[in-house]
Amino acid sequence: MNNRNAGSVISRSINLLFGDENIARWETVKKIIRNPNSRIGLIMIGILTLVGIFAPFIAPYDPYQQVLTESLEPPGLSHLFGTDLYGRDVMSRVIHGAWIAVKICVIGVGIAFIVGNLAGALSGYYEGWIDTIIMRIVDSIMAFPFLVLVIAIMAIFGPGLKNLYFAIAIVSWCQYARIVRSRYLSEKEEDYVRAAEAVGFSDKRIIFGHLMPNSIAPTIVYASLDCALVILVAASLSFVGVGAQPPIPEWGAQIAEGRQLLQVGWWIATFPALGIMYTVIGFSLIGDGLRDMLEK
Amino acid sequence: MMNLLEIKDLHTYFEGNGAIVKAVDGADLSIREREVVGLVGESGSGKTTIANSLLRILPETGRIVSGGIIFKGINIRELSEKEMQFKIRGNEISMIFQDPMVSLNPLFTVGEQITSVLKLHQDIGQKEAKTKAIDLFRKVRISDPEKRFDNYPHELSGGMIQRVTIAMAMSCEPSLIIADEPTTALDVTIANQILNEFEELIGEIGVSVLWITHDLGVIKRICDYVNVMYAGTLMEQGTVKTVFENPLHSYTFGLLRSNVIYYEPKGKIPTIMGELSEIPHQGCKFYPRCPIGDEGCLQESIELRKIDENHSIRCIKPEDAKRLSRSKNHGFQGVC
Repeated sequence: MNNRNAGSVISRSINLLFGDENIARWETVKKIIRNPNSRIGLIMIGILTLVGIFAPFIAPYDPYQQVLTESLEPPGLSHLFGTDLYGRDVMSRVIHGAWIAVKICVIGVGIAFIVGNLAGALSGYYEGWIDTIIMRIVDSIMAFPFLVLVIAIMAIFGPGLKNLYFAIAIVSWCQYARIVRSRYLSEKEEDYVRAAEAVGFSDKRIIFGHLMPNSIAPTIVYASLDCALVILVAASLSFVGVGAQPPIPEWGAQIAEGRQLLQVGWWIATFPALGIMYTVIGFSLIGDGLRDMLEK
Repeated sequence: MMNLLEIKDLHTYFEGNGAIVKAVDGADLSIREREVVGLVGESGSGKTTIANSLLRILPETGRIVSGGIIFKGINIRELSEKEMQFKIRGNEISMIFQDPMVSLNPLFTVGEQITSVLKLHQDIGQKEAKTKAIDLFRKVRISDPEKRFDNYPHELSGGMIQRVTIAMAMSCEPSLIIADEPTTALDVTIANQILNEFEELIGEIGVSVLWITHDLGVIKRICDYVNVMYAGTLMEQGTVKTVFENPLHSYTFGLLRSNVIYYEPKGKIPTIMGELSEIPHQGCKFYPRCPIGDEGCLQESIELRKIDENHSIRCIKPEDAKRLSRSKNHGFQGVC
């Protein structure tokens, strides 16, 4: 009952924001919000994003400040999540880690989404040699296991957060390109595309104005699931030591730091791990909900 | 009078997996100003390919191999892609498609789609385009045009959408409209209404029309001139009156014979036996299915020749066909 109210409040505010004329266009948005999976997921990721943005204000301590006298304190009133070996507040570090997680999703997945959509559109619409070149690049990238290739790229570029975003983008655009290409191949045979050609629209307009809106849905679904995957990959890389470098409060790096101390301080690795779990579940729920709504 | 459009010996082939399909293999056709020209033939005879060749919107695998398409004195084959987009498509030549339910983009309202065409080809703003679009909707008898303007294609019926596509085709006052079986996907009553309105509209704005169809009834009703197509070539062409009353090609005769409206059947309805795929390499393409053909028909390639001012055929034995059309034993077998 409560949930239903929350949904209708949101949908009503959408109506207010965008006016009555565009109601039909926002039907889908409302449907997504009404779907329990995606609603819970959206709320979870919304909270994560807010926590990430306002991390400096929410976090009770400076995540980098070492207070060696308070080393390895268990969770308690002064430090809710305890402190690590150097006396840094684990809670503050987890909160700042949220911002890094959000950045990885937005930048890594964002670049992959845009590049993949463009590449897939070009190869699906024009076919011929453009298609051959793009798809052979995709094939060769996808011939390697995802994680191994990202590690290899990180080894070339050197560790660090910035390189991590790009390494992830370089590898994951391929999936988008393939999805988009297959959609374009089938969608461009539709009569409305032929009609658009017959009316004299340019290729650019047909690709972006007519085909893209009709073929973007599956990539949006994939992107939300990809966010979950990318968070895991980033954490794994930092855990292995080729991703974010200490003292950056990245969750994977924090788990790596806490690993040796599991017996004396379980909280150091556990809380960032819970953060990862929370984020992955959130994105997976959004993905599930979107798939129900957007894919026929 | 000068011809608006002249197609001379057009060859359009499709290639794929090493095979070549000659979809249009030597078609000659002309359309004069303010004339409604019918193009009739069975499925797969290349009617739509001619239409697509005119606008150069052939699929990837198809290409125009030879021949000329002269529109208002300009050879369409020599125009650049840019010139095609801005000057010809939608502006000078527009097209109405067969299935109204899939010829509009499902994600945009019909209003957005028609105004986008208007804005593309004419230098007008959104407001002006909207008034113009609503005027057009009114012209094609869409009830409550202001409200329909904001509807999505799935909210309208097939007849309504076909009216919208007709409005779109007429929006930029083209010189030629290609109507690719626009009534085939509609039910008979709606098709009838749309035909009535279409007839009125083309009289009103004075546009030439190339009407592609299977339906001889439609041809007889709205066309001035008819072209009968078989296996990528034109078999017979002439004014509707001469061709329908005095068909000189056995294929045309067979088509007419199999239509209950023109020849009251006694017993079984006669059909043209065989399939379109049986085409000899040389000579008359209709030979395997022709009731009057003999070896002579396969000797050499047969040219389209003029019988009189308004009538030409691609057959060497018009007398036999004439006799056939008068005899009771028409040579076509009945099946049902």
